[in-house]
Amino acid sequence: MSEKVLEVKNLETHFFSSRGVAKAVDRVSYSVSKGEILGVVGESGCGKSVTALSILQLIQSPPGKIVGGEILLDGRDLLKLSKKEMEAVRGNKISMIFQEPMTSLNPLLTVGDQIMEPIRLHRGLGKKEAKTEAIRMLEAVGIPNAEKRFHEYPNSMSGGMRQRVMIAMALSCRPEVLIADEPTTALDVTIQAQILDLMLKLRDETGTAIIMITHDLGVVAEMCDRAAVMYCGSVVEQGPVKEIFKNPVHPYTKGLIASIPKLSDEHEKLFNIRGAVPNLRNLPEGCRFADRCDYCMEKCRKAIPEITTVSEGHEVRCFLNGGE
Amino acid sequence: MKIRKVKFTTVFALAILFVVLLMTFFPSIFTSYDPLAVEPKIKLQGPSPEHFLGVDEYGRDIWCRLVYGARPSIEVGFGSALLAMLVGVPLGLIAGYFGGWVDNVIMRIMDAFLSFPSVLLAILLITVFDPSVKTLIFTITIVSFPAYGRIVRSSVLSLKERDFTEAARASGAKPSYIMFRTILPNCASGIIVQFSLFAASAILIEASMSFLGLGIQPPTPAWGSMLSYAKAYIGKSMLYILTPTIMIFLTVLSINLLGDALREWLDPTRLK
Repeated sequence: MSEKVLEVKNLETHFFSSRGVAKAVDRVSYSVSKGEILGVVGESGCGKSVTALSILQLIQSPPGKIVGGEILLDGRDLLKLSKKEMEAVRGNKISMIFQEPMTSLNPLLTVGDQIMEPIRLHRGLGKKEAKTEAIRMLEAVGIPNAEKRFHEYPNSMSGGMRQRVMIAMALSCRPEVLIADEPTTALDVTIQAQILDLMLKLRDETGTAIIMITHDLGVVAEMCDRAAVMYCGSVVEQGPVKEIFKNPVHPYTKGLIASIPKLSDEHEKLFNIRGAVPNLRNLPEGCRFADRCDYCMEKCRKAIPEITTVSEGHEVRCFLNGGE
Repeated sequence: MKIRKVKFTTVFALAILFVVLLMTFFPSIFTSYDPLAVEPKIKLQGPSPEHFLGVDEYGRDIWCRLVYGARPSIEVGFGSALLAMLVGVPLGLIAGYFGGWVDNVIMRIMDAFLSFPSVLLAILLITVFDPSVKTLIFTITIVSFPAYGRIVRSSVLSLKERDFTEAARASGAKPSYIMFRTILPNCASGIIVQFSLFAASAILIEASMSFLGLGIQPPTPAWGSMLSYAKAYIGKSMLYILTPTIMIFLTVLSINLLGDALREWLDPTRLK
């Protein structure tokens, strides 16, 4: 396996409130290598985005706090960096694109100004060079008339266009890792495909590692090399995408895959995982999926299973794969 | 870019303000009289070829005094609105952005200022210091900067949670950049509207203070004090009391209209 660019180890992020502590991220470990795309899947509120924001240390504090673990970028622990050093990492070594392109751009600055900002900040380029670079980036993400668009405000652009601008901004400093937090959820299907193609193309050109946060297994199957399935703040299963789809071990992963609608079986009721996600402030003692699991055993109620290996690179947090 | 349709009210407001500003800085364009020259023989005379608005109780030309009276109003109005903005906006920005105890300290101080009835506080301050344009500006600033602070703080509170602020943070922007380039411009339309409201109300406060004898001191002409003297002769000369009233009314109205127009014009999401 090629070298890991970003490695998250046993990361724990908790939110403290008067009603208790919510363990939003609980001992999450995953990693990405150069040029690799890791898909992070799971339902809403399972901690996908909080993990991503924790990596950039953008968690609102208070109430949120990273209470444990390590985030290694090229072997350097980001949690030990000062605020200043962290500012130099954000947007430069690791950058992020968000779900809502419509609101992620400042309405009062031109698109050009906004792309130039990280370029000037992190790469120390002058105004002229930054402008040339920004226009080059706009062209790279497939925006026609880049020179003209450079001077326009975000309100004259469509959602797809704005997401392209966000991608241009995120990639303008040639980051080692790009975190994409549901980048296509707010876009319509044809634009989704274009944006995903664009990201694949840029990955091939720049070798940036991508963490793709999504709840769409289709996107994972299409784009990702590896996938991590999250449930209730922890990674329950991760491995190569093909392995995950062919040979899922964790009942939650099985459930997710089974609930993808298929065109072939008409008129059949869609599969759904029974029950609902437990409250993060009041988690069961044992496995968090126990209440919804068809294979629940006695020991599942008593302790949280440790991570065990299924095959090379395929890990699961479930007693079905052995372990005590 | 297409030529924007300019509303009639905007043109009207601009024209009035332009004239009032000319009066402030170049009063001699409008009149050749001296606002302090007394001519007791013709006191309270109505309109005549020499004095087209008539003269006051000392025989001074009313038109001339109106022209010269623009200066204190404009100075106090814009001066105090500007000063209150310079004090209130940074305080609100800091309080909203940093939150926590910083926010608490700043806001409680502002609350303390707001808890005084503004006119009473103004009267108190003016009796302590000498009545002059400077004192008036200082006084009106003190009673009005907390309102600026609150308005800015409240927009900062919502703006700092917005996606684009988060995105700026994620791209490594420094706090100063986020405060001044991301958040402040987005508060601008509120600040501008507030500026126009304050300038207008500062002119009204100046007029009230002068009316009460606490503002601009005689014999220097000011619209407020003119009103105050004219009220004794309301039966004899309607023009004497009406003209300063109209000047105050038109100036305040124009500033408000212009504030609205500016806000619309500065909004980038407007339809072009």
